[in-house]
Amino acid sequence: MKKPNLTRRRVVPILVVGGLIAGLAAGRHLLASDHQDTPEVELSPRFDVNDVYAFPAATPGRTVLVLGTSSPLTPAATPSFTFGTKDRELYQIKVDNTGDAKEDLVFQLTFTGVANHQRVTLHGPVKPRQVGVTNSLIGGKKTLAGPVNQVLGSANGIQLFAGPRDDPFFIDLEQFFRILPDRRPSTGPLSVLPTPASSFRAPGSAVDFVAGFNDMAIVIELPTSMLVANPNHPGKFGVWGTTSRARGT
Amino acid sequence: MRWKNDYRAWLAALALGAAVVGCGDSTGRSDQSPSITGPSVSQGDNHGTADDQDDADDATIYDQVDFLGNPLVSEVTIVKANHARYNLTQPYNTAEFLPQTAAFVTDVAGRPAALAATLGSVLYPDMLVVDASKPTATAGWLSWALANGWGGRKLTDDVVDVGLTAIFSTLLSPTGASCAPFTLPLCTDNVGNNDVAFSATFPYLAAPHL
Repeated sequence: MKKPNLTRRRVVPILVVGGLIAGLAAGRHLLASDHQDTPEVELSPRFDVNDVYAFPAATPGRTVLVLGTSSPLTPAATPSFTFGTKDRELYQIKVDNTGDAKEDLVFQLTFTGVANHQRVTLHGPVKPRQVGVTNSLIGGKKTLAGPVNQVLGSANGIQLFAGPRDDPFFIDLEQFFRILPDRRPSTGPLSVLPTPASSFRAPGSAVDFVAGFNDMAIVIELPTSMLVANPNHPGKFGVWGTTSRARGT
Repeated sequence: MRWKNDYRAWLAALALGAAVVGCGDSTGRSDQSPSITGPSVSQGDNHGTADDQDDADDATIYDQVDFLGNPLVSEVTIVKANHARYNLTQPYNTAEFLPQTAAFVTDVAGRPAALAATLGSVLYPDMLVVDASKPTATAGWLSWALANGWGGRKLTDDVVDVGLTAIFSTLLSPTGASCAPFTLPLCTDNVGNNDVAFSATFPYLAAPHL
């Protein structure tokens, strides 16, 4: 699980009519955010990395990497929602395959265009120009490029999908906050949950907070041999996701 | 529920002292292929040639805003006030937060220090670890460490229950346990599946709710 950004605030007005649901949305958004004390980020849900996945593809020898962002996105807000554009934001999936917890390979994803007409560009996996929290674009020949919300690439090579999907995460977040109040959002309905709890809820009472919501997902599938240090002797690799803001924006 | 049984086995294996192997296996490696980045530039020619080169925009500097490796590590075990700082780290320096995770396990959860140390060694450096030398059938969050498996994180993994059970159940440490594995009060949230089914084919995540 990870943190939706406060941007949900933008979504909240739509939901306010929905009462409880609205409250939950605002709450999850606020809760999950690691940035609630950073106003500029609270206003930028596109920078929220919610979940990262790495799992075997349906085809043997291939691996799937997922970077989930902008959750929870309401169905009403989904059609007009966009990825952060290249002039402001860089999405990356990073891979360490030498055991030092520093990225040896990166996938850099950038977006251009407005809602319903966005295009995505992928560079990588390729050695990054810089390791760490300050990055620049690899540039050069694109690995893949095309419209969002379409499967790009080759089933034998690299495949890419970027677009709205059902948020794959599931959790009784409201009860989690009751049990561990420190992690609550600082504002919104979940910030004032009335009853502290010492137990999760029974099967009939537990609520999947994320049910019915979407996220903006980036899904990449590729041969596992492209992720490991030595394709002839596949070993360990570590995966993490980041978002970054263009300096000065 | 099969996956839950898998996790029970994995966690049990850890409790029995199965080796917890870190990702730091790079010492002295000499067999790394220098051509790992080669294939990337030969892929993806399904776009127009006029669009296949980026402009000279490399001067833009991007500063990290958010970071996520393992689920739940920062959200659950790090106090809220420190989340912002956590997001400005990378796996190689996440170790500075390991004492905070350990303190959560011992002080908030009231569990033994040995359990905290075990979990810390699995969760840090904070990244999703895959062991590609293992059968893909063994994939699942933390299975690389707990069950000698492929690891990673599957869409169907109930990471909440796995994390809760690892911390609060009897599996890793019988002392002071709050609950039996995957039971109330604290070893399950009783939300065991996504609200819609995942796809068996790319892009795997289900279509959006519209």
